This record gives sequence, structure tokens and C-alpha cells, in this order.
Amino acid sequence: MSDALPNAEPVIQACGLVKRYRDSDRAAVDGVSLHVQRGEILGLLGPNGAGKTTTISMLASLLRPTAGEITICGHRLGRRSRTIRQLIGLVPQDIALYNQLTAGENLRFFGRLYGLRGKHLTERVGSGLEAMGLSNVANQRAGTFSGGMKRRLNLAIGLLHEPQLLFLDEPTVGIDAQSRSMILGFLAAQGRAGMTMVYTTHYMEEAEQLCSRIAVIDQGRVVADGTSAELLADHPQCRTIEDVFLDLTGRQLRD
Amino acid sequence: MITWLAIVWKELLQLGRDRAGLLVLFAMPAFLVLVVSLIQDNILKSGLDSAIVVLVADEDGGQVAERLRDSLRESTGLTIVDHQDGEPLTQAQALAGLADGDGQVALLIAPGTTQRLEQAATEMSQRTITTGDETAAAPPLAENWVRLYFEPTVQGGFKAAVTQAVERLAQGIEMDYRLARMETELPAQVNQVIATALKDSLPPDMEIQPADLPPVRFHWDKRPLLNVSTEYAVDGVAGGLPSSVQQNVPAWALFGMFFIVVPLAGTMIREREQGTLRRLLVMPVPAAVLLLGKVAAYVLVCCGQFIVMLAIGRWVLPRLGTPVLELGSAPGALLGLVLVCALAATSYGIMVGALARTYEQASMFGAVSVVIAAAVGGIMIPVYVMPSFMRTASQISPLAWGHEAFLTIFVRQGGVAEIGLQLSLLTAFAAVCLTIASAMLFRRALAD
Repeated sequence: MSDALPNAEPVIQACGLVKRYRDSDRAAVDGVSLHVQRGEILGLLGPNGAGKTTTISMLASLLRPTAGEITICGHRLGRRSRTIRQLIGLVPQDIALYNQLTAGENLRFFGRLYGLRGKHLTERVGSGLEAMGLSNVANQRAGTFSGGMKRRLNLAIGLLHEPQLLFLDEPTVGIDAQSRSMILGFLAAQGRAGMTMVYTTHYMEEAEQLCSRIAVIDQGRVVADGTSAELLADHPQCRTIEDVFLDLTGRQLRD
Repeated sequence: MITWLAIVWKELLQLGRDRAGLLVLFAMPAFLVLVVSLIQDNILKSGLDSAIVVLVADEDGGQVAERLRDSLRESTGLTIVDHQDGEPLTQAQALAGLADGDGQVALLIAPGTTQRLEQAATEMSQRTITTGDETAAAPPLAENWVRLYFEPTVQGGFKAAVTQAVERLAQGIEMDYRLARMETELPAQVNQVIATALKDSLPPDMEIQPADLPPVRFHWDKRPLLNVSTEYAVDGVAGGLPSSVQQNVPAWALFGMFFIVVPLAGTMIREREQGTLRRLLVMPVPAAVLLLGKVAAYVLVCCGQFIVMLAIGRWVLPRLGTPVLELGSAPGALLGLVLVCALAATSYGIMVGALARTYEQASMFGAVSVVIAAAVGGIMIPVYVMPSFMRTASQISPLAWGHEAFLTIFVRQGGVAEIGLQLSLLTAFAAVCLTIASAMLFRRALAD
């Protein structure tokens, strides 16, 4: 991991982020500001269409904000995107794999794109497969995998180049309890090892278990931000984070 | 460079495991070039060069029928059938055979044709000599003495060719009969004229002996005195029309190369739908490298397709009776042209993949657009047999540009200078496609 930052400096500094899509009158993200310190795991919670994925896409340099500024690991986004991209990892909501390739081939391909070569690449591929419990199916095509195996491979790819900052967009959707437990355990270990993460999910108990801080986002704005204890303290009528979430975002359906 | 090679390798690996894609890219054009070349080989050869079965019902039994039959037998591509179960064909059998599809033409020669021809030739000779009026020949034989019947599906060109061949043979036989009669009639008439002229000046009891005149022979040399030669001139250069193989191998190779739109657009849409493109776009790799990796991989595939088609033209089709594919005399120009065509085809595929929203859209539009461009561009039917407005329309098809350039190299022995226009057009086409594709691809990936 290069470009080490002093511990005091935030890994993410996002100020006044706004994103308007061309075919929409409403801003998908409307003035979001986030500061994430090294080693923090920020849970980004919100109902469907709240702006979570758009926020992550802007932070991960995929989308250019309509307004606002982003600094990642001390680099202003937009000027040194390539340097920033080497420091970040993305585990997208979609299972972004090549089904025709084996698990090993998928990892080697993405590893080469991150600039890994030779022995180092082989080691990283091997440790990724092992960490995700996929060593015995390394030569099997990803298309033949179960949903849980694909999610685990999806995560292994995101971690291949040992990023300083990892964005996880609903990484446990649609998988069994065993795979979910394994993924959460692994991410907690990564967090303890000092990896900074931004984690979106609809599973409140996951956020409560994994994240050191939670930001609730609704209609493109951050409506609450703090540790789970702080959020519960601010909403004394609520017993769980899910109650807090529903209290903040309402009970009407969002489609 | 390693990053770029990794992208190329990934694309090739994916395509190598896509059986349906491989079938579309390699098996389909190979099958088409084999079938169409063999069919067109028959059509492109001279009209009488293919095996037309002529059912001959000889109810004359004389020399006329025999000579017609023998002469037709000597014509290449005609198969003469004049017996059935060891017995000569009757008119009814010949017509029934035609109806059953046993032959394409029935030649019916009426009884007494030879005798009637001899009689007519004698009358004509006598009249011509006695009256000195060449128009005073005997009336021609009725048309139905020698009749031709055609199976309804026989094309106009074949029909005209067979009719003309039979007419030419009949005229030759007729002329031989006329001349043969003249050989006997002319000395007899000369002696008769002499006898008439001397009759009054000689004593009445004196017998006039026929003069021993030198024999008259009309067995002339059959070689033509006025020879007509035929050649094809293209762009002022004496050459020829392309052989079926020269026409079809580049044609179907181009068709197959442009059909790369289906698997290529498919992989691009899958990348977008599965989120792989978003993942690629957050990697420390310039978007241009991602695009160029894809382009290079599919250009290689297109070149592979061309090599397969070339091998079929050089080594497979000749074993099935077609001419060997002649490649012209400019290998450098050929290589350059293949690369530019591959680039144009790949760029088109990438553009369709970027513009289409779903795989169904891409496969449907991609396949239909290539078929239309191929039909218009002289891939399915050679441009030189199209009506003039279609020839003009064909100039809008990139497949036509490529095909024209291949024919220039193969048939007209052209080089880079001669195909410069087509190379420029194909390169410009590729550049436009890639520009549209890159703009659409990344805009859509980021907006989704």
C-alpha cells in the first residue's frame, strides 16, 4: 500500500456533493458531505433510490459530481483519478465477473489490470481464493458457481490489490447465511487490520454488527450520521437501528 | 502493454469458450462459401458448361437425327439420353421424362426428317440452277419436324443457349445437304445446258455424250475464316471476371467478419448488464486501453476467419471441382486490406454493442444490418450482374468497398495504389464507429 496517509487525515473528504442526471428533474444526491477516517467502516444506509449507489459511484470516481469536491487519500478526485483508482477497491452491487472464465482466470485478469505481476500476482490470487473458500474450485468457471460463491469471488476481486479504501455496494444480497457470515467475518478482520470501508446495505443488523459509524441517507441527503450508540441515543423511542432507520425515512413504500 | 495483452487474452478466452459465437464466426461463413461457390461455379461457367440432360426422341432414324445427336454429344455439359431400357426413346417417353424431371430438354425429331430434307435440298438446288434466282428455293420444312421442349424451371440463358446450339447444328446439316445436292445437280445441269445449246447445230441422229466435267466438291475446311475472339476488359486492362472462388471467398469472409457484431455486441452488453464494465472503469486503466484491447482481440479473430476462408478457397474448394483461389500478386496489399476490413468489422460490432440497450436489440439489428449490407454490397449476388441503380446503391456498403478491393487484388492484379480509395473509406468507417462507440459506451456505463 503506497501513499500512506497520516492517521489524522481523513481517507474520504466529500463536501457538498450534488448529482443531477440528465433525464431527471430531482437531484439524486443533494448536498452530501462525508468525512471518513482511516480504519473507519462507514455504513451508508437508505431506502431504494435514496442516493447510496450514486454517492459511492462518485466517491469511486465512476461518476462526476454536478457540484461538490471529493478528496481521496489526500488526492483531489478529477485530477489524479488513476492514482486514486490504484488506492481504492470496488465491490459492486452486481456480480461483476466473467462467467466464461474460471475463478482463477477472473482473479488473474483483474489483478493484471491493477498492475500485479509474476509471483506477487500468483500469491494474491492464491490468498484471495483461500480467504473466500474457493481454492478447490479455482479452475471451475464462474458461471457454474452458486450465488454465494459468486459473491465471495466478487469480494476477492475487490481486495486483490490490497486497497486502502474499499467500497462495498450491498455485497451480501441474495446469498445464504453461511456465505454472508463468512463475508462479514472477513470484512470485520480487514477493518481490524486498518482497512477503510464504505458499506451500503439494506440489512440493518449487518450495519450494526460491522460498521463503526452509520450514515442514513434519504432523498439524496444525509439525515443522520454517528455510531449506532449515538443514533440510538438520539432516538430514545427506538430499540434498534432498524427502528431508527424507519423513524428517519418513514414507513411508506419506496419503489 | 501487459494490461492491454491481458484484455486481449481475456476476450479471446471468452470467445473461445462461446460455442455459439464460434459457430457464427467460423462454421457459418465456411458453410456458405462452400455451398455458394459450388452453385455459382456452375452459373459462372459458360451457359452450356453445366450438365443439362437432353432427352432425344429420334423417330427419323436417318442421318439428320444421327448427326444432331452426335454433335450435341460433343458439346460440353450436355448429357444426351436417347434410349430407355435398351430401346430408342419415343416422343411420348421423352415428354414424360421431361415432366418427371429426368431431363431439362427434350429434342423430338419427326419421322422422315432426313428424307424430307434431302428432297427439299434437291428441289432447291434444281430451282436455283435452272432459274438463277436464289430466292426460288423450296419452301422450308415445317417447323415441327425438329422440336425442342424445355422443363419450365430451365432459366432463360440456358434455354437460349440450347436453342441456338440446336439451330446452329441444324443449319450446318442443312447447308451440307444443300451443297451435296449442288455437287450432283450442277454437273448434270451444265451437261443439260450444253446438250440444249448444241442440239440445233448437230445432225438430229447424232447422240450427245455428257461432258466429262471436273468434279465439284463443297467439302470445305470447317475452320472459320472470320474468327471472333472474346475477352473481358476491366478498367482498361484485359483480364477476366472473377471465378466463383475469387468472388465468393472474400465475399463470405467479409460477411463472416462483419457478423462478429453478434458475439462482440453480446459480450459488451453482458459486461454492461453484469456491472463488469463499471468495475473495469474504476480500475487504474485508461478507457482507451480497455477499448483497444477489445478491438485488437476481435481484429485477430477476424484475421483468423479470413485465413480459414482462404484455406477453403485454396485447398478445399478445388477438390470439389472449382478453380483454385488466385490471390493476385500483391501480398502486402492483401494483408493490409484484411487488417483494415477486420478493423472496420470490429469497430462496427463495438458501435452496435455500445448503442444497443439489450442483447436482443444488438443481435437482431446487428445481424439484419449485416445481411442487408451484404445483399446490397454484392456479397450474395455479384455487383456486375446487378441493375445499374443497384450498382450505385452498392457503393454505400462497407462490405462492397472491401469486396471491390479484394477483387482488384485477386482479379485485376492491383496493389495498394489501386485499392487506396477503399482502404481510406474502410478506415474512415472504422474511425467513425469507434468514436460513436466510445462516446456512447462510457456515457451509458456511467449513467446507468
